[in-house]
Amino acid sequence: MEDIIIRVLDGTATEQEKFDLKNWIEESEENKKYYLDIYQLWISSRLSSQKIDVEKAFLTLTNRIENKYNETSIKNRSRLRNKWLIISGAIAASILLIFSFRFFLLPDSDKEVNYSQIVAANENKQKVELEDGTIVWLNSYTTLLYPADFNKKTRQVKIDGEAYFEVAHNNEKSFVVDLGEDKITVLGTAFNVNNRSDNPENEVVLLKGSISLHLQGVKDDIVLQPNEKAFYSKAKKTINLESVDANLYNVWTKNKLVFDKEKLSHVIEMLEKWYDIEINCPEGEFDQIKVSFTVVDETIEQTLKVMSLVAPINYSIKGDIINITPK
Amino acid sequence: MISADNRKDEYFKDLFFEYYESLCFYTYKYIPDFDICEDIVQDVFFNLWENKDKLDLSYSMKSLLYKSTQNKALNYIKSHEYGHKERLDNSVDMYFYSLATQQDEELHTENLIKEIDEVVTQLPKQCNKIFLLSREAGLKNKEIAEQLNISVKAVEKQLTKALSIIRTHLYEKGYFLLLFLIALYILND
Repeated sequence: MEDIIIRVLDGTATEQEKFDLKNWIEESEENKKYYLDIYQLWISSRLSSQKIDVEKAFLTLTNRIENKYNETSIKNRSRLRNKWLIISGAIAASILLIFSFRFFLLPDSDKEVNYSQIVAANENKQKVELEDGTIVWLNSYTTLLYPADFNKKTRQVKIDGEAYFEVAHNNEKSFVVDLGEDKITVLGTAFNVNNRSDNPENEVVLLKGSISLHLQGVKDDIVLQPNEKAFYSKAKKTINLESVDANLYNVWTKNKLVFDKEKLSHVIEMLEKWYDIEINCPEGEFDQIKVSFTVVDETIEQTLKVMSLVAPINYSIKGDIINITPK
Repeated sequence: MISADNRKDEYFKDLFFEYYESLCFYTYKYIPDFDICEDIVQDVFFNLWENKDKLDLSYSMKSLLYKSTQNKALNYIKSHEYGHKERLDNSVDMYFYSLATQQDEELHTENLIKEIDEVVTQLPKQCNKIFLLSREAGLKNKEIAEQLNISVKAVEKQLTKALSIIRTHLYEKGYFLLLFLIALYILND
């Protein structure tokens, strides 16, 4: 019966097992007491690691109230400030049109685009809907630039940082992501770009649809298929394609960080970004260790604790200096 | 906008700060996903705010808040897992929900949590690891099994062991007496 209790709590019990447990609980006061005790411990022990930020929650609520009651005036204001950009956390999910790739290369003369509009995310992530219906999630410290006449003749944006795109389909106007010298062309598709100018290596991961990647100095464009990741070095002009589980790459837009047999060294890099902290660890030491776990709203301390359980590492936190060492 | 000079607004804010967290924990009994719990409690307060002109300040809001949170949580479950209402009402799941929420919603005292944390550190190594992965990291049994390369059965066994050790320990410390009294009260009711 104890195993069944655990399965009921885990949400994996069968209907028959639930029914059996119900009968067992109703059998005696003692049984009921036992179940309730275990249940109480199950819930309480989970709650102990949860910290709810009530201040922040209150802010969210007042924002929501404000939005609802000033909806009209906000719309008018944003129209004045900027005709087509609506930054909103409440954009309904867009319908993704999956479309086959159509090769489209910009003529050289079009390269001079005047990116006069800027959206920059600070430590908080941001969601932006462009005039054409494309939705862009900006990760922390990411800048999105676009010309004032976006969607007039062309759809072109520039990214420094990490962004996840759900591009609204438009057969007439290709959507082009300017990565500095390199470019991504799409028609309608979902993909994640990690193009930080301070990173020597950058990546593009395709979730749905099809995109082509044009690297300056590389003759042929690279066409990505879903679940493919292109890893490219700007300096060396090399590109590697790799099969990945692409759904892992936009988890940050969902406020979740998922590692699936990820190199520990890479995990540490991701955690540095996620928590915006610096982690010291021996170079090259953790390339061989692979770990799987998920971070939702855990503090860095909680995450490090879990890591030290699943991987042979020790950690120490002194002020804002975090050290990770092999066990 | 909530202005400070409005008495009802102040009252609303006080209610929020007093009950938001415990309502989230309460919702967790129905839906073990904190993001959803917070969304639901946000909705409860949003609706409350929309109806604040009708609020009777002399009336205790506590039971109203818990009741509407419970309704919203059940509606969520009904629409997301059951398709329609009748199926949940007659299901064995409903039995467990009502059993769980018979307990006092304010039992998650800091002392109890501290006490649990302390026993957990004394658990045997594998037992401790599995318990932390489940309760602190929030992994499902299957995920823990994959992570540690052991069977789901073994995970279940270790979790049962951990919970049973903690329970015994807490009994020795005199905890659960309160729970016991409440259980008695419910049974005699």
